[in-house]
Amino acid sequence: MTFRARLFTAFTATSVLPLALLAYGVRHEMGTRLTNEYEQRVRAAAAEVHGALSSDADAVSAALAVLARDLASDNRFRLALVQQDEGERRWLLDLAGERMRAGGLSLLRIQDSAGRILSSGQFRNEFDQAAPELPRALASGAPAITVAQVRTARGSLLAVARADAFAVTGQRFTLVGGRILDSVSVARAVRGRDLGVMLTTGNDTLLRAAARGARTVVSETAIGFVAESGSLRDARLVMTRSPGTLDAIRRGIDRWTLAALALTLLLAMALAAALAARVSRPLARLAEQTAALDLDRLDQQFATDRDDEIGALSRLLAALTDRLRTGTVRLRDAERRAAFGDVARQVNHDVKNGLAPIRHVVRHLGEVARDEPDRLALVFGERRGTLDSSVDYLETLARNYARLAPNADTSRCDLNAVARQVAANLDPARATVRLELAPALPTVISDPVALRRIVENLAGNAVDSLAGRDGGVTFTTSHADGTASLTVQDTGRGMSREELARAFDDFYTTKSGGTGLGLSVVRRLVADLGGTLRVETEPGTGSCFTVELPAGGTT
Amino acid sequence: MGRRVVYPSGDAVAQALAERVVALAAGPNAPSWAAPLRDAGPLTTLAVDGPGLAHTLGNGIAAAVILRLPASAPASNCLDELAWRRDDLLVPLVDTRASAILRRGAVRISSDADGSIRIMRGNTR
Repeated sequence: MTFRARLFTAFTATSVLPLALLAYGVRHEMGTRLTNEYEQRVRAAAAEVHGALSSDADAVSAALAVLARDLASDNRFRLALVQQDEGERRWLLDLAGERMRAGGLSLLRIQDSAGRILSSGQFRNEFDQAAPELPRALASGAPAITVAQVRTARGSLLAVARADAFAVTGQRFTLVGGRILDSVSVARAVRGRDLGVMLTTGNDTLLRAAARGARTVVSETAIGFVAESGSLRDARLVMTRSPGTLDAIRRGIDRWTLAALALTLLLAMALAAALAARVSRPLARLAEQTAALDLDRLDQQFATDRDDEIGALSRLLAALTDRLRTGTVRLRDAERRAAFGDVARQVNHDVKNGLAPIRHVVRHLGEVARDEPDRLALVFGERRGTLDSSVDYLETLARNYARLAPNADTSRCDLNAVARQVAANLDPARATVRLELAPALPTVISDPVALRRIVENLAGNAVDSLAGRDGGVTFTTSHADGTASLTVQDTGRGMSREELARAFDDFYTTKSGGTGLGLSVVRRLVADLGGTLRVETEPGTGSCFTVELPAGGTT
Repeated sequence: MGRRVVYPSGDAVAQALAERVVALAAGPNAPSWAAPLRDAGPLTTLAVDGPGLAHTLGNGIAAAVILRLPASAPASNCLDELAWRRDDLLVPLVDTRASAILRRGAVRISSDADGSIRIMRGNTR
């Protein structure tokens, strides 16, 4: 894992984990509070429904009390019932209906002491029917909220019922009244609250007004129930709520929590990426600069005004580079001194080698002049070739050594022009020459003579590597990143790994007539010009030498 | 759901009679012809428009049908339009007359709540 990736991971974890914990805590707290609040509202609604039923029962009691007081002093009622006045019979039949509607009731019966129905508001034509069970059940300790099931011509109805009684001329009469309790009225009471109401006797469900999916029981209230048969039973008014509502609230909280967490994660990742890049970018730049360091390329600038650890590291690298520059100068001086010693020894050896034949010829000529003076001319003629070849050798040697001398006179040089000149001087019989020169190639800062020697040496080596076989030499120029480069590629014999390892050593050569100084000179000249030299080679395929020099601008 | 006592929609007399039949059938002292009506469960009333009335007996909806029949024509002429079975029971409920001749000193009569004429004791008015 890279340092940047570690920073990214650390920043992301540092940002996200506390936020995730916070989000979880907020979700948990909100979920708990909302659940409690919702359940409180549901319980309040259930209490409200229960209170509405109690209010209905009280209202029925009040209406019956008023009716009882009125009827007890109503002469017309007395005439119709006590005196059996047939003319008031129709009035009596309609009396319950009229008072029921006037009192806001849904159920009203006027019954005599035997339970005979004298007038029925909800079922006008059930007069004279004996139904003593309902008033008896209501009068015998029924709970404050008692629901009665009574018949009408069109079916049964459930009503919150109460009973009352009054007496007229010594006869006792009973009033049974009630307010309807149906799914519509109950649903109206719990409308918009996502509640369900169920009236059940345990085995039978008498009434159900349930919101969709309302299954969770919120509260149960014991009430009385008088069946159509008149039997008083225990019943329960069950309030239910839908778990879907609470689940929807929780899902909403979860959804928003996840959305907030995802957004936070994205922002944290973006911030972490930016911070990681900000921290790691200077390090990456230092790494790139450090990777570019080479004994031939110690021009990297590590100077910085940062006062943090990265600044300290940059200053350390700058100091290290300075020490490397100093060491490199010393090393090159040492190399030069060593090379100079090598050259001196080689010159000594080579000069001795060149002087030895001359010394032998001179000694021979001296002996001839002393012993056979008349043959001196003849012998001189015979040995003159040896003298000439030795002199030529020494002259060549001197010329080659003269090429080792550096020349520091630099100027802007046209690399393409040099490549063309050198290519033109090559013997076309020995190699097929190709030029692939980049247009608008910037000039290079170089000594023209040194540049010419670099290109001539590379070109000469390339032609020599062909060894008389058919092949080609290609000159290619290009430029990038402030440098201009020249590539000399041949299709010659190439070099083995061992040959390549020694290719730049002084006096190492694989050619019978070579001095072994060509590539050594090229390497030193390129280094003196501040450039680099690369070689790619493969035995049997050829070699490719690339010289990169600092660009000095367009020509 | 029990069966229905069906009556023509809009006929107030037939509706009152149907409700009375329901009340009587549910009581402990139901007439012999009314008690069997509740065997299939609670009895209730149902108002039906004229064309639908003819099918309520045949499709089992009706336990009884309240009909207004003219006294001057054979009942079968009207009943044939229903899904009438010859063994079905026909119970006259109310006999109404277009006119009544009254004279002073005669027997006192009274019209009952269901429209029937009742002979009263006592002096005429």
